[in-house]
Amino acid sequence: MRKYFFKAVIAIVGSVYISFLLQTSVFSRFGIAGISPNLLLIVACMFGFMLGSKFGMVAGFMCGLVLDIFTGSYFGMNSIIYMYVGLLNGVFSTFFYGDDIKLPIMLIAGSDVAVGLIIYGIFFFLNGNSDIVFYLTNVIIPEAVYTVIVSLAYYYPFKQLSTWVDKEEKRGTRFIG
Amino acid sequence: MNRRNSKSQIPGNFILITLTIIGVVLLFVNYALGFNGGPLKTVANYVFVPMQRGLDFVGSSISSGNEDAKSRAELLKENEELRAENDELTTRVTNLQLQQTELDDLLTLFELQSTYSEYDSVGAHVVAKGTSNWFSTFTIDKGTADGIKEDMNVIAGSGLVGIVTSAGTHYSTVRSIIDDTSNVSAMVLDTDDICIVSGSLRLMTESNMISIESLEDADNSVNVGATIVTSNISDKYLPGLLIGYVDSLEESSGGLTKTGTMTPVVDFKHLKNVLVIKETKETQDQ
Repeated sequence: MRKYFFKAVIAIVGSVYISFLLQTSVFSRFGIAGISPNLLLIVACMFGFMLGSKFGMVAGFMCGLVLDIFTGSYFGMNSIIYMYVGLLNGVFSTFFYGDDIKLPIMLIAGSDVAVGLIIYGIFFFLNGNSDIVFYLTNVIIPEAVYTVIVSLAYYYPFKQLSTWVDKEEKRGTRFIG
Repeated sequence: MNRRNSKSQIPGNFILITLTIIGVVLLFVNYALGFNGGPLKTVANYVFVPMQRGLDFVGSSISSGNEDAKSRAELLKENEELRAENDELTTRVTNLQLQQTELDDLLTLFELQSTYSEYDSVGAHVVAKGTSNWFSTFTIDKGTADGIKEDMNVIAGSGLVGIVTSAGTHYSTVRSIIDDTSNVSAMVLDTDDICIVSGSLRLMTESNMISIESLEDADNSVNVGATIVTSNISDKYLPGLLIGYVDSLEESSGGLTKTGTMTPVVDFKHLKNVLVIKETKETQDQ
């Protein structure tokens, strides 16, 4: 059990570290129409639906924590939001079949839109910016699309990572197909 | 069947409740005490920022190859024009310096403090842009070790960029004035009319502008193109910092004040180097 725990810690810390650096220092230069992909959301979602709710929660909390350190206001907001993203994605882990990429894509897109709507609702709508159509078409949907495209590149490496962390679990064909 | 539960002894619900409580407590502590990470900032400092600086260096080396694709002839012509402008500006500066000395003498005679004195500042690079697409914050590579503290103003070129929201040892996060949560107390330079400049993600995306609110302009003396600077009555921003130029004005629904849009003078899409003014409004008032 101890080996399991350390592998999990390394996996989570490593992915959060690399994704954060990519998101803020690399991808922010290659924004499409000023939108950059939300890589930490991909990390939280993938840990969730590949390894279950517990992993998703902790990975999500770490993702949110890193964002909070560098955002400088409402410290704790991102931690809670991403933790729940990880948790809810983990609910779908029993439906996760390794080679079927449709469910993960839908989950990531859905999570991105949900997070976008929550942030819009709290920080924009309640301040009087009630034109949701504008924010949907200019921020939420482009970010979801860009994030989903990048998640395709994340998918197989993450599958390998999840197999490595959870080696004893995945041995044997429990799922057919 | 469900072997997952037998692996780890800690039940999932316990983790959920614990982390939710931690998250909510952090929010409250942030609200009540302005806690912004404390010891976690040290982690960020030594773990993330060095990599960010390295990546920023690599990234700017790659992208500078794309941007500077002007032809040699264009560059030479631009060089000529810049030299001529440089000479003209040097003459003007010298004249202004002479006037400034005279002004200082007169002010000392009247025993007044010079309002727009030279501020002590430190330069910094932008190493990481924005943690999300909704807000406009960025990270710079100087921190408390270089004398930077919270609430210091940040400028670039000649215009106001934002304000420092938190400072680690070797990094700081800055919130831009175009961020939706940013409100700067400002005034029209020519007429001294007070207004509030607020950032807006929507206006910036649509037309690269930010909004002016609560402009008191009873005699309609403010025109399009008027210069907007930070006001004397702001409690976070030093006075006289250039923000931008008025683009449009109209009566607000109440009829008592005006609202409008303005173009910020700084190009927020291509921020690389900024200047942090080491004097905060608080210490200046003392």
